[in-house]
Amino acid sequence: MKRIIIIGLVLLFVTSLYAQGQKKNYTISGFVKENGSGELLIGVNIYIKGTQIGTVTNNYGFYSLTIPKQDLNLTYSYVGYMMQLKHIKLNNDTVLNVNLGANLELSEVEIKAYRDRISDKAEMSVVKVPIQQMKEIPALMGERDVFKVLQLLPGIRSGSEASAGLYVRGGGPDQNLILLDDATVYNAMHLFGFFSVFNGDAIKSVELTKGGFPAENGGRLSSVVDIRLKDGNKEKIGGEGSIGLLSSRLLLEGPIVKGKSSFIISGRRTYIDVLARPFMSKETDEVTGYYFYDLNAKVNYEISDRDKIYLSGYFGRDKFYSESSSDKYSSSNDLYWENITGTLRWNHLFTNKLFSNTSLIFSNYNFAVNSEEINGGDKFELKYNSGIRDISLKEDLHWMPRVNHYVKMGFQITNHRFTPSAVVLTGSSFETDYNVKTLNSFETAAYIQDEWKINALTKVNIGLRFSNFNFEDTHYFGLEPRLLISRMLSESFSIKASYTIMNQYIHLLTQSGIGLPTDLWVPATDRVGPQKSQQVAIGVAKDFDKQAFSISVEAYYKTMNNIIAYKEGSNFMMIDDPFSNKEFHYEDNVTSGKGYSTGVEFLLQRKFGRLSGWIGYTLSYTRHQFDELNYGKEFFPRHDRRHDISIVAIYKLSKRFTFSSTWVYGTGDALTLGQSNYIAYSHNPTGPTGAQNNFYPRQVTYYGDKNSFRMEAYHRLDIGIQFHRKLKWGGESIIDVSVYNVYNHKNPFYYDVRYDPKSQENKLVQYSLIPVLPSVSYYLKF
Amino acid sequence: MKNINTNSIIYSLLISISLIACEKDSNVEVPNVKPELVTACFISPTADQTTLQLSWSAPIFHNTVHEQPIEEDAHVYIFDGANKHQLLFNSIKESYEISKSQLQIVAGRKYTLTVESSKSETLTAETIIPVKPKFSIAFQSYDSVHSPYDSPQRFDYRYFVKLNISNEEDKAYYRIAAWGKSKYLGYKQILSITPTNGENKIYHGDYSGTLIFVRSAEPEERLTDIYINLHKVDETYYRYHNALENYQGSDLFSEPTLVYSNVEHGLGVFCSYNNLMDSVAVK
Repeated sequence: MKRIIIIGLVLLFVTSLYAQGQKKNYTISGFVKENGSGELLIGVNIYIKGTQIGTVTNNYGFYSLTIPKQDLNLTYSYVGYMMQLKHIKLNNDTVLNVNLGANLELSEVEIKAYRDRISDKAEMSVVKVPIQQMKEIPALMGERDVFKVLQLLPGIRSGSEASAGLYVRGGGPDQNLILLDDATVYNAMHLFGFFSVFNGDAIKSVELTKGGFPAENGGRLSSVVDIRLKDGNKEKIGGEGSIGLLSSRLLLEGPIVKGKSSFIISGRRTYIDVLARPFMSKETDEVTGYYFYDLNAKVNYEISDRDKIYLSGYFGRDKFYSESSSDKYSSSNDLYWENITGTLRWNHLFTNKLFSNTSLIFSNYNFAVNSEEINGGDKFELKYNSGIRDISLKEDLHWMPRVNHYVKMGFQITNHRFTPSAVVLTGSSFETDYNVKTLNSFETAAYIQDEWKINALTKVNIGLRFSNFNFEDTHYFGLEPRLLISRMLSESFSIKASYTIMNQYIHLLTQSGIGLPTDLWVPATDRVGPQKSQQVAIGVAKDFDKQAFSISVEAYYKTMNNIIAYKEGSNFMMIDDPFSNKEFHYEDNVTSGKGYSTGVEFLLQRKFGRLSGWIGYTLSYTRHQFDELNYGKEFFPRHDRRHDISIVAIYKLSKRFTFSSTWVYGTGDALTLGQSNYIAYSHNPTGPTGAQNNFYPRQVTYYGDKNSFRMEAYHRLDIGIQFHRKLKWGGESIIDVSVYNVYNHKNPFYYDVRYDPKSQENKLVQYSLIPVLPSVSYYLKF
Repeated sequence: MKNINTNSIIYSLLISISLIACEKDSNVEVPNVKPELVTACFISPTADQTTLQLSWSAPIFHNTVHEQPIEEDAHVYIFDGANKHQLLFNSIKESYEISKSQLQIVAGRKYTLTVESSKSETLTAETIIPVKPKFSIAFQSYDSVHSPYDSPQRFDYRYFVKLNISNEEDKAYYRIAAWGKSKYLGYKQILSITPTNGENKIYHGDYSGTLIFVRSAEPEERLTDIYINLHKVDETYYRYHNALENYQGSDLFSEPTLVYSNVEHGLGVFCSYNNLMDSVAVK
């Protein structure tokens, strides 16, 4: 049966190419840019007015449409931009670069004509957040955070209160591939996950795929978060800055060679440490502090109409430091974790139908501790570090032979270098180097996929990905078929289904829900194999063009094999204790098992207009089973969440005022809670003959089944108001006032058992992290 | 030196963050369980007597009595397939006992425990006594290295001993304890065993290979004989002790350890082991 289907599809494919080939076709191609800045726009809808025929710009702003000779009106539309209509007499191949002007205030007429439909796209389980909306949603302490916005969408949840970690469709935070301009970001957290490392000012687009993965995506089980940085204004120098309670930010962009080349640089730094310093005790010479900063930079150069090069980078660091000194004694300690990424990209147009992107990618995550103690004449130094470093070569070819085929193919080769933990101790009396050998592995993947419009009603995205992983003498291969079918049932209503297999060759050793910088990436080995998932999803999508609404409902079922977890009693200290890891075998502390997740997601969304936002609801059910956990029985993982609701509303009262509000609700996390205490006797036969039997009593806790307790439900309302003001010299200022957790709901962060002397009973005490928290930020755009 | 480590700094940071946290009594329904009988009994053909510990668990919530009292008035029986033998309470040792002459433990045989408490609570459990495997050891060599953390006079002595266990079962569990004898100090327990990495380590699976015993000592304390005590244990014994070994108590950063129990209507274990011993001279 499988063979018949494959042969049928191949025949249909060949026939469709041949059928197209009988008519004389011409190609319209080009780049779509933002008017005034030259910024390339991703995902612009381009279609022949009055038909379903069209395409979208790719991640590099390029489009190509091959159609028969005709007179046509071509429409270019994109969220937040003025639509453009181009009349074309198509009788030869045409290059048409288009500039779209920003228009945040769409009129009702424009809304009706606007086209950003989800029903006719050959994609599902894809989340796109308009950057403008992200900037208008209330933010914790004024820090606009793309991950916090993603968490408000169905199927995606956070790990704990205020955490920027992502749990997608029952998967763990290790199962998300987070890409910044194609470079993997391994630890996307600042301040233990309170904020993500992505500075919203410098971001051009964000797309999260949680299912129905095209073959170009791979390497993780649960999601791919594709973040693209802005290229920089090619026309004029400009920028924006902000001052908030936690941090200040500055972005500068402008042309290097007008119209040809540009740069963008953006940075932010927190100043809790600087503000707190005057309040520190002056009686001691101790200085402690914490800060984080990050820096994004990008330059690009348009060599010719066919060649563009880009160089982008990110550097971010969290640092905790303490210093103290007296007459004969001084000590300084610092602990930091940092991400560095770099991408060198070359876009080349071989023909007006064949686009190529070649990337050389560098990514490094490093966690380090430096400690120095001088006591009299003795000096002691400890240096510890762990991390992962990647160097990748990636090639993507986009071939658009016909209007009904969009073929992508490519490969990626990555060298992962893991440093589980390395310690150098130096002292007056000894010098010891506990450098653990670095672990080198190679991950390669090649893929081919075609987004194929079989007819006016049916589209498929069919692809195959081949992946391979080599670590020491261990080799793993993976064949990952991908299929997505979309069928229009009416002009604006479609049904979609998808099936994907994903392999993940690296694991993250992490403590559930905490998101610590000590989380450690490790390779799949002969003892702990790669993770593998299969996912099927089915859904419907409906657009309401007049009202500019869209509704999607999706159901999914995902299995996950070879997922890992700490063994009972293990914790991250066992992993990173430098004194116990001369021989590092992470496999000793972990156990592998399987899991499944199933759920239904509902999303009602309005991306633009005076009132925009969305309502999302997820009903999901996730179970894990490990032979070595919970006596081998199935259990709910901590992040299993039965109900998840989010409501986001942005209302533009006038050009000067924007109100926004979010409300979230989620079923409480699953948790293991002690039920009773008892004395457990261990048996210890001692003596050289083993004849002396001893019993050692020890008080232990009986927990019942793992994660059988539920924390209190989580809910919170945030509101925000933005005051916009055009300045005389052409700039714009925004005062952003936000209130986080308006009704001060004490959301659970963790629980503890405490003895109450009055009642003589133990009580369960709930600790909450963030009460009602107002903040104000000032933004200036120039 | 050791106290300057990553974990203490991370703890400090997390504690600083949690200082801004507010607390309240939880509104959620906490577990409401009754006290349960808890037992621990490890039976063996080589033990002089069979001893059983019996006490009560103390519910954490909805409970004002937090002690875990010993149950002194229970009726405790072990059934060997033919006869039912009663264990009597020894008030000095605060445990139930029966001598080897009254209850013979035979390898390969199934034994069933029944306990009826003074409150008419009943627990039951059963175990099958492991059969001894064939086992041999042979001394290979020893060496010594200077430990950077020790005085210049002390060395880490490593003794290499070949161990052979032949077992016909697919899944077998062992516990190894090693003792050493030196010229001046008599018997000394050996501190660590590699690959099991720890003294008295329990592990599962067939093991035949070289054991490395490490002991820090001055040259005159070098071992002259090594005694190896091999216990073949049943699966319950292994899972229970493995859980206790991993047990970390209450820790925000630890995965809670669920202590294994094979007891119906109660907690604890009723399990068994069989003991073998051999020695080699250090050459």
